[in-house]
Formats: sequence, C-alpha cells, structure tokens
Amino acid sequence: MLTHPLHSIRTKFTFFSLLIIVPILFFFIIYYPGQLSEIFEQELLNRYQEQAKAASFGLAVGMATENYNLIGEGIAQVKKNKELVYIIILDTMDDVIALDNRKQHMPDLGSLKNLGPIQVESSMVRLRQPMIYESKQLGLLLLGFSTNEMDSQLGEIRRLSYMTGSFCIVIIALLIWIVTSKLTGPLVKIAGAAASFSKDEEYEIIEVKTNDEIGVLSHSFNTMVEKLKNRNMALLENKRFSEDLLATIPSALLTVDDSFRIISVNNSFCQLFQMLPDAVEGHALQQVLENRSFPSDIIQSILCGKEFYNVEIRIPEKETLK
Amino acid sequence: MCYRMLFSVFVMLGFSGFSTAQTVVIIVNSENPISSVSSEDLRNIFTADKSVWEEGNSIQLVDWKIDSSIRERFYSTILRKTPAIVRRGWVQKIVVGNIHPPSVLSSEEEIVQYVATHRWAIAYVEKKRMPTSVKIIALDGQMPDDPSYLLK
Repeated sequence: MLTHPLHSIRTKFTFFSLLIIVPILFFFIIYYPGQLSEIFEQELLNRYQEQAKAASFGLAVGMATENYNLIGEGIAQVKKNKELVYIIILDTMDDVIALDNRKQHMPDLGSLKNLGPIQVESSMVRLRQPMIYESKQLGLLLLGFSTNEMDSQLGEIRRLSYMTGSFCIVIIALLIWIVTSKLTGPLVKIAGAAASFSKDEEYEIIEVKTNDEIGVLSHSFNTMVEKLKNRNMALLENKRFSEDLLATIPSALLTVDDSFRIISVNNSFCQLFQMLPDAVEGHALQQVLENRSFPSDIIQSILCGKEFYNVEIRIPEKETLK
Repeated sequence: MCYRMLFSVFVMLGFSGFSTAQTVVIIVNSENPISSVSSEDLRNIFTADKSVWEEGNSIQLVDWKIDSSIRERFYSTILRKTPAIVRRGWVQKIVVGNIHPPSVLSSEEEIVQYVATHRWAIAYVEKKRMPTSVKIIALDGQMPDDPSYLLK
C-alpha cells in the first residue's frame, strides 16, 4: 500500500513533467516577450520612418506641383498615428511653413533641425526627413511621436505573455494529470487488488479496457489471481480431505514440522491425551509432552524418531474435550 | 515698304494682345443658388479661411496650375498675395485640419468642365462663351460687363 499519496506514479509523473515543461514555458514567457518587444519597437520605428518618407515625398511633390491632394494623403497617413505629437514643416530658410502640435508639447526648433534622421528618447521618437523633389531640397519635415503608446503596447504584450504562459502551465498541468490518471488508472487498480489480496485474500478481477502494456499486465494479473484462487481452493480441498481422513483414523496422530512443532492433531489424539487442538497446535512437541508428564526417555525417543511398542502411559486429566 | 508693313502688323498685333486681355469671371455651377460674391469672401475662399457655402455645403475649389498668368493676376488683384504665400497657407491648413484642398487644373476647358459637373464648385476663368451648366456670378455686386468690375 502507498504510504503517502505523493508517492504515487501519477504525482511523480506530473511533478517531473512540470519540472521539464515549466522552465521551458518560463523561458518563453520571459525571453520571448523581450525579443518580441525589440521586434515590435523596430517595426514601429521602421513604420514611422516609412510614413515620414512617404509624407515628405508627398509634401515635396505636392508643394512643387501644387498637388494638394498628395500633401493631404501624406499628412493623413502620418496623422493616423495616435502617438503623433507634432508635425513641423520647415522651408529651406528654416522658417516654419506649417505646424501642428497635437499635445502642446512644443519642441525646440533649433535643436530639432540638427537632429539625425531618427532619435529615440525616453518619451519621444523624433524624425527629421528632408523634402526633396527632383534632387532639390524644398524643406524639412519634422515629426514627433510619443513613446507612451508604444510603452503601453509593449506592456500589453508582456502582460499577455505572462497571462498566456500561466494559463498554459495550468492547462498543461491539468492535461498531464488527466493523461497520467488515464495511464496509471489500471496500475492503481492492480495495486489495490494486490493489496487487498495480500491483506484479506480477496480475489479481485480487474476490468481491462486497454490493449497496451498496462492492459497486458492487468490481464496477466487477472490470470494469476484466477490460478491462485483455483490452487488455493484445491489446497483447501486437500486440507479438508486430510483433516477428514485424520479425524476418522482411530489411532492418535499428530503432524509436526522440521522443528517438531505440532501442526495438527486428530480427534483420537485429542481424546487420548485429553487436550484441545488449540492447546497443542503450534506448540513444540517436547513442551506438550512434558506438560503431559511423559517420561523423559520416551520424549527423547519420540524426538529422535525411535519406534517403541507396548508402552503404557498414564495421563492425568487436565482438560476435557468438548 | 515690305518691312514697314510687317512692322505695322506686329505693332497692331502687340497692341491688340495687350488691349484684349480678357476679363476674368467668377463661375459656379448653374445649380448653385448664389449669384454674387464679395471680393473678401473670394479671398477667404481661396485662402481656405472659408470652406462652406452659406447653405452649409463644402466649397469645391478649383485653381489654375502653377505659373499661369491668369492665376497671378487673380492672386494679385483679389488675394493680394503671391502664389507662394497662398501655397504655404494651404499647406498649413492641410497639415492642421481636414480641409478640402483645391483641385489644380491646367486648362480652361478642364476647369469649366469641373465646375459644370460639381454642384458646389467655384473657379475663375477668362470670359468666354460658357456652357449652360455653368453661370457667371457678380463680384462685389458687379457683373463683368460693368465698367468698374474688379477683374477687367
């Protein structure tokens, strides 16, 4: 019998499976969001740059040819971004042509003009894109995007990763438990049947539903139990027959084992020595004979296996037979 | 004798070209109920300070292509600004708000056709025979035939 439920195969299998799977999952939960964040950030910056290029091209062509629709389309693409903070269009003299400052976060124009094509700051991504038409620069497009939205989206990615990971761990643990239960269920039944057999000699037949190794084991166990049952019944039958045989023999008979411990006695023995079977069975023959005041030389003869005839022994009455 | 005649012809042609500079007329679709526009309204329309008609419909503005002489004349007379300044104003308006930018066309036929097919369009062209789907409106209460018409 299991001394503790934690010692079961099911628990061990689940524990070891989780021991392998959980670190892998944690690796994906912690490592992957980091990678994902970097990819996401790079994608976002690329998108900003592409939009800045498209808008500056539209502005350059639109301003050169007075195609206002081109200007509008480029600007509209940029303005679709919720993170957009400002759009500034400068001419070649660095004078402001147009300015749209959505979040009243007016940057210093002097510093913006000297920026690189893209600059990522703690709370802002700043882009500087020249407006070129037919190899001639018509001005500068300056764009500012807030990183708050980006940060919140990255946080959302991480949060989703943690939630998904935790959910996966729970689901996997549950699946492992169910699969293990399915696999070890017949084993648990075999273990229970074997325990009850060893304890109470109950012959329990296990229901076999699978054809795998466990099914074969269950089937073999059932066969073994069946054979044991039959042999035990045959033994009992033999025992009963021997007992009946012994009981009907008029001579007093007793059977002893190798150490001269009495195994059984027949009725004639009980009547002759006026003893109950329970008082002698399981006891040493020498002790029983001594208790019944047998002469010591006879006791030694019996124990040595010597034959003797016509010996008269008077046995004092100690017990009465039922 | 021959040179003298040729010179006379060139002089006549030159004078005729100068003196026959067409009057610029303001046109709208014939279904548009307005019949007159003030020069101030016209200025506001062409600088995007006014984008809807009195009835509330969006103005569909048509302008001439860059470097056209009629445009320069119209801008200097009505808007009193250079095309470059007006262009900057339009870019600023497009960047800041969702306004409907003017459609820039290159020929009078295209412009007239546009006005004829767009109910709330407005444009300026040189005075010629107009199709029935387009009507000429008064500027500051004066029709193009009036001697004090602004765009003569």
